[in-house]
Amino acid sequence: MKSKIILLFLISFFMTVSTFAEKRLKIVTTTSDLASLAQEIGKDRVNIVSLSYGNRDPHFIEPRPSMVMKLKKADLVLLVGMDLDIWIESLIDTARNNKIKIGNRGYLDVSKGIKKLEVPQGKVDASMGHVHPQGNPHYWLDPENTKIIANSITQKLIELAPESTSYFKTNLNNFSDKIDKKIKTWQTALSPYKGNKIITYHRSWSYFANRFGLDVACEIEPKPGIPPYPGHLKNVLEKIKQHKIKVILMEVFYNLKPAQFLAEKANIQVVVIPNSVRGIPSANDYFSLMDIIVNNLAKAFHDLIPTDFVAD
Amino acid sequence: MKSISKSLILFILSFGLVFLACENNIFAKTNTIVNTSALELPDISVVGNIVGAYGSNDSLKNNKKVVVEGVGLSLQGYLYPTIRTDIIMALHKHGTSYQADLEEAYVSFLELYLPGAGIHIPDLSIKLGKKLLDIGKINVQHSHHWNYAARPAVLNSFFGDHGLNGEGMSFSYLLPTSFFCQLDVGLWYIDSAHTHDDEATHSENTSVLGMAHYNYLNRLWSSFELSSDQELEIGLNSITGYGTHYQEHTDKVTVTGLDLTYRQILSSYQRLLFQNEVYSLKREVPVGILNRLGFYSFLNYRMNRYWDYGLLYDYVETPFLDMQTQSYLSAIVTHSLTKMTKARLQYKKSLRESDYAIYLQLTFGIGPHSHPLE
Repeated sequence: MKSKIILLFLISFFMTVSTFAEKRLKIVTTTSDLASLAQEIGKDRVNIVSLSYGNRDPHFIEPRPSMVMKLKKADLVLLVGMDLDIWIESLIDTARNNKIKIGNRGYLDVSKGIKKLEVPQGKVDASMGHVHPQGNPHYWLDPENTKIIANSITQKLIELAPESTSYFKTNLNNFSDKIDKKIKTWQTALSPYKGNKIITYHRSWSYFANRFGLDVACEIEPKPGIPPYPGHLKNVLEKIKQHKIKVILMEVFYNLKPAQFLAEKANIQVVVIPNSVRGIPSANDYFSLMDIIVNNLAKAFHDLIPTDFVAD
Repeated sequence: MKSISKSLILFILSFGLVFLACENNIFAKTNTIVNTSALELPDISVVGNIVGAYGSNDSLKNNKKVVVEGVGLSLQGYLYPTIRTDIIMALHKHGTSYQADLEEAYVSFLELYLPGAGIHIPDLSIKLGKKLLDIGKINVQHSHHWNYAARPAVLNSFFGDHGLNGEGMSFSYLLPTSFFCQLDVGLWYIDSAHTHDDEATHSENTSVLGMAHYNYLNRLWSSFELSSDQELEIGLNSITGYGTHYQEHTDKVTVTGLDLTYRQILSSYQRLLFQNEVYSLKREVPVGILNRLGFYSFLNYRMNRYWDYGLLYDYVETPFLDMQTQSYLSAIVTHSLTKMTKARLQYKKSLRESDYAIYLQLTFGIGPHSHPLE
């Protein structure tokens, strides 16, 4: 009798598991940051595939036919939006998956609800470099924005799988609690350096700087997407010396040489970090990504600036 | 002169109509308050191709000149949630004059969904209109998208110097396989006037055939993800129709081909591309059947975001009675100022004769220009 009960239990268990496995929402994201955030909410009720990883420049992803098959099976596609992942449009068209077509239930541009920075006014063209007409799209680097993103994802998951509403909402609450605690930790780590000026390679750190009270004095790129030339590097050098700037912050995939040149000429430290999940192996989710960014930046400041240093 | 004026006026009028239709005048002063309400406009872009050529053979097209090979105005957008249109109007150089040309104007039904008729076949899409035909990898691309200044000889010789471009319709079906596999079947009418050189130069150029009249086109395109960084695409192509001399004599042409593309992502910007197309042409003419072969092999290394280097080998047996064999080796350097604007230097050396040609090319684009997956 006992063995029959155990057998019945095991059968029910595996049937339940397989039911949930079959019912797992299939999500495709354009970046590994969105994949990480979606995983926080969906956990074992979702299967997530990211079409790009953090060690790639998201502006330069080449659409490939194999990506079409991932989209074909998807219940939901998550985009950063703001023209950062415009390359996915031809893939969505080719996939012929009505669920994920633009504007349909399975299509979510998570930039909705984000307070956008650096939205250009007036005419926009290539004389300004590679400018995003809808504003700076690197908003995931402000951890407060991840709460907005996570909330959007939660609402969408509830819409697609209403039977898991309480599950998704619980995960959202847990995520929100965790990110709030981590934001406090990160702010504490960087608070001694509030007001400090930094140099970045590309204009991708505006949201991060805004959140943590840092001032991006200028970029190594003279304009977004335009490689640095000697005259511009000379101007950057002058700025470094004038404002006693101590740190250059740049992503793992950019050319190190201009930053190394500046480091040789001025007492400035180059901090090379990922700006996206899986930009390096240890940045395997959003929390570890931000830990790496904050800890490396704080260490760089600490090594160069005493904690009671007062910024200009 | 008259034909230039007419064509130019037509092109300018078309261009002007687009801007008159715009709700916001794009030439407005920059201190004008921007209307931030949503705009119902197609994606409008301008693309161009400027080429300078210098060659040892005086018969080289536009030798010792810098010419605007073509400029195009592109209008792209959705007509309906599952229907989009792509329109490209172009000015091309023909001989010494420019002619306005409707290069592409087609409607894509992304899936067959007619709710009123109760028809829904999600994996089937239809294209109808006028377009560059989906054969191989390059024919469907506009010149600003190429990886070379001079098209491989086989494509010029077999398909015409403007590529295979026809009016008709095609069905495209994504097969229910675990890997990408798409079948395209189409019937296209090719206007032979677009596959010939100008009459004045035609008799001098016996290397370009081109296709004409009704042609059946089939393509089976598969792609295999070897790893997250490696992909192999294989295409089987066939086109059955007529050569451009069909009105003068029997001229039935069948072209079968294989394309193979290997792509490896090495780092964020570094990429290796190995692309090949091989075609077998069978041409039935009054004196018998001509069998000809042509192919190209292209190796491209993108070193970083701004520079890439390529080697191109191309070979063709011209599809005429007095067959000539042409083979070339090219070295290509491309500097990408942006994704749409590139400067390119190509050195092309004939392997059969002592001829060489040097091309300096500038391709550019303004505006949001997109391509279907290629």
